[in-house]
Amino acid sequence: MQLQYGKCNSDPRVVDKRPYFGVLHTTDILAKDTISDRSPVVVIAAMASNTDAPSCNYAYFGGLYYYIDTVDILPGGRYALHLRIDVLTSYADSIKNISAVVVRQAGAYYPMLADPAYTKKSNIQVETRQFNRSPFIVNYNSDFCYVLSVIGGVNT
Amino acid sequence: MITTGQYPTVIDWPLQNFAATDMITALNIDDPDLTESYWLGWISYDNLPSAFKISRQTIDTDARTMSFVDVTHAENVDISIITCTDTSPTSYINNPYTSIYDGDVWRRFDSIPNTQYVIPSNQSRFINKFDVNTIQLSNTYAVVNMTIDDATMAYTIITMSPDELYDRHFTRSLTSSDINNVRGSAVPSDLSFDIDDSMLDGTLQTITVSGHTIKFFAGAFGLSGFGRPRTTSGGVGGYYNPLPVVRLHDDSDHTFLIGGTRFFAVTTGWYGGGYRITPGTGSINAYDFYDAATTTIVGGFVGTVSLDDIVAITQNNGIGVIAAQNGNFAVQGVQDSRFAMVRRMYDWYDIVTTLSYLMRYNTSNTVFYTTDATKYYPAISENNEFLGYLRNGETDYDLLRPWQISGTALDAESDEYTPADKPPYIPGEGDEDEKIGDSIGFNVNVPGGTASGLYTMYALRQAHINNLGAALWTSFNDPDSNFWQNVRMAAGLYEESGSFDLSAILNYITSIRIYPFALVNLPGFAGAGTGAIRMGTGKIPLDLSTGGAGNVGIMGSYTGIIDAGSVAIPAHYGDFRDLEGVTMSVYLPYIGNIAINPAEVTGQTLQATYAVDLTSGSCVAYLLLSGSWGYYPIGVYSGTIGADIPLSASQGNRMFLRDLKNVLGLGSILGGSLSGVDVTDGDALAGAIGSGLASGAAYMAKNVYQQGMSAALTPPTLGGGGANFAGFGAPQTAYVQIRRHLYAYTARNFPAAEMGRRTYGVKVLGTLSGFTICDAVDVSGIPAPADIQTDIKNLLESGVYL
Repeated sequence: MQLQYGKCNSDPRVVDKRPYFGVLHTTDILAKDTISDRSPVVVIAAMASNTDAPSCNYAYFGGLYYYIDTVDILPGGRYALHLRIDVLTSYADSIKNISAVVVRQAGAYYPMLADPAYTKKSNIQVETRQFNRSPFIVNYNSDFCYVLSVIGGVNT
Repeated sequence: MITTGQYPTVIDWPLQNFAATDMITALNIDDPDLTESYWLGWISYDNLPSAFKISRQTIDTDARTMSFVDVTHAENVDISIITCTDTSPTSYINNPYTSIYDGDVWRRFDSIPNTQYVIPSNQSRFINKFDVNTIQLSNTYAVVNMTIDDATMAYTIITMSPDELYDRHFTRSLTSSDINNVRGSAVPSDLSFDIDDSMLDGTLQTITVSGHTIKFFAGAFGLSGFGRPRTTSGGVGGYYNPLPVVRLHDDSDHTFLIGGTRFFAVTTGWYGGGYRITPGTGSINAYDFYDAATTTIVGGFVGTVSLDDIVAITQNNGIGVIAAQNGNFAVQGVQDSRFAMVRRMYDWYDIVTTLSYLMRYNTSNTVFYTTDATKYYPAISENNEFLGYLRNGETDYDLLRPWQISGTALDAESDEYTPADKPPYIPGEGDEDEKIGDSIGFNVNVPGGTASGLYTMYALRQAHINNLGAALWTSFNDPDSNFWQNVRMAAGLYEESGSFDLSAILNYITSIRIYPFALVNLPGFAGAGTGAIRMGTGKIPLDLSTGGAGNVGIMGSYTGIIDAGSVAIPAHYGDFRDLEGVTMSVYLPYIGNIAINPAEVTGQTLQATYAVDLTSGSCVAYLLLSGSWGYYPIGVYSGTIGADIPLSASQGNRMFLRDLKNVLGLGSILGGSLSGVDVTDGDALAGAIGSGLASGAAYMAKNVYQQGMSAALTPPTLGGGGANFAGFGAPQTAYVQIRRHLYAYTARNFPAAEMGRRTYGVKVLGTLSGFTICDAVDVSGIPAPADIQTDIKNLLESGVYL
């Protein structure tokens, strides 16, 4: 069985890290000491020739993706890689097929839903907006502003 | 979309020195996942003045839609680096060269002409020193940012997300002519895009690159619909549609001239937007830089310019047409075709937007006008954050797309947008209409006239009131005088004893009221009558026109309708915060303060109309919302708008005088004379009333804040119009007052990319992108052990990036 390993600097919460997984090396797995499916330990041949190997943090084998937590140097130039499964990327395709109730989303959101994440400040803002007409501003000296009502009279 | 990746330094093909100053570079990415190929283009920072041009190579002709590549898949796709060196804009596209930057100099891969160099899948090449700030697709005019970090060699290309850009705005399929258009050989007339409000929603884009915050810049947009500009002086024909050019300048002294220049060149043909212009040597044009202060040419090729420098393009044959300049320089100017509301940004990139457009004004010269739009709108520079429109006088197309920037905090003390910066309100979000049912028409039915002979209403000026007072009282005891002698005799009111029944006389006058509006503006104003009024039998006129008072007016209706105007109530935040905990009230003069429901009116226009009862002085105000659905009344309110001036006999006593004095605050005006007036003393009354009314009216209008009028200092409450004159001292223009909470986040700096925003409903996770939190996820379908299923469930419910 072969193991691919390289570097992946994606946020661990990224579901599908495959696009970010820069596969640098492929090597045979010499031995596998499976403590568990979630945290296997694999032994591979020397990594010394690969100068960037120490910075590798991500691996793939057996159809699953793993973080490389620690590397033990073994006799004979071998290395033991302590792996920890990345459940998100290993099952990314299945996860993407899930239909789920989504409560927060970066793009597909509804702005009119109240969101407590917008922390209120203690002060408030008062905005005043005037109507665009002021019919009640007149010149009382010159405008016809008085109504004299009389009994009888002539409407001319 | 943010993508990051790492590339080792592996350069394994022939390289050739490449002059930075004559290069246009494009990145071509074949994305097998998308079965498409994209070309992104940029200029290097060493090549600042070069115009930028971009095209997109398509592989799948069925999917040739304008979009941006998601280089998330970069390591699984083929990447081609295309560079072009050509002084001829029409041909460079046919002579691509592959180039790469080897960390020191640009190199050109000559051995594969007319093609691109392909970086095979799952292999990497060193692409460094691309400090690319803006990428703009010609004729799509959207903007992408890109940078490559020197230290980590991590590159990032930020594209607008499909939701925000691709699906909504750039779905038009390209044709071969479009491609040619991009190349500059043809310009289809229909390559334009409708702009709607949804494009201006200012949705945030998440941009984080190597620890930096990158700002999206609003690129020119839909420019092909640009119309012919107005021209203001001779010689400017401008029969070719000009297209704007966006010039960007950032604080790293990088200047970019990008955008959809489409102009008629001096020599031949149409040239594609943003092509490179070789400084000083090109057969077409050259750059010159003008000093902003002196408007003189700085001279030569200038790689960087200050914010205020003016970029110009001139012909190298000496014709010397100024090609780009500031807004007011050109006599051929297009000043009346101003651009509006350019967004200006600063922070990592202090980008000043300069809008230019190019026009041809005769057969040999091309004029390329540039205006720093910020100069037209100083508010832009105040906040350095601007969301708005760019228009000229000839088109409704928006020239800049107002994308906002994530992580770009506004000023710490600034919690609001500039007035033109308000995002649109999103009513109902499509679920239900917010206004349903019938539209309530506001059809005012004004009685056509008054009952002639029974009741007459005269519209008077203050001078008429003065004359009335004098006529009533000054001549009261003069049996030989004019009007009243005859009236008294006719009415049998004259008594031999010499005493008079004052109340009987005043019974002819039912009221005198002052109103806070010009009666001539009412529909019921029947026009000017004579200079005299008549009462009773109407046989004896009383001339009130003396002293320059002029003719009195006649009211033809008992009702007056007054339009008190309208006010728009735009959304402030553009989201739930416009409603959450917000209170609103409307102040209506002579009515009072009225609470209104923010959810009912936000994003709409409120208008007020008064109906006035001239027989009683009361009024009814109608508050309505107006919109595409018609009129939507939200309230009817009553008040008192006409202030009685008591003159009837029943009021003509000391109580009246005291009240009048107190209410009007006329004591100072009348010098206290009223306090001792005996109502049986006609002369004294005449003097007091006449002068009191005359000066009182003017006084009310100006200085009614007096003792006894303190209520006017507080906006009247609903229905509180009993004190007639109080309303005269209150604000005379209706207004809306909105009290809202302030928030720690603005719509711009809310970390939606890291926190997401509220949503609901069932969604297929594969259709989403970015940060996501699910609830009650069923993971039983995932072919994994139970403990791993549980882990996945927990992660999805705590937040993942899709």
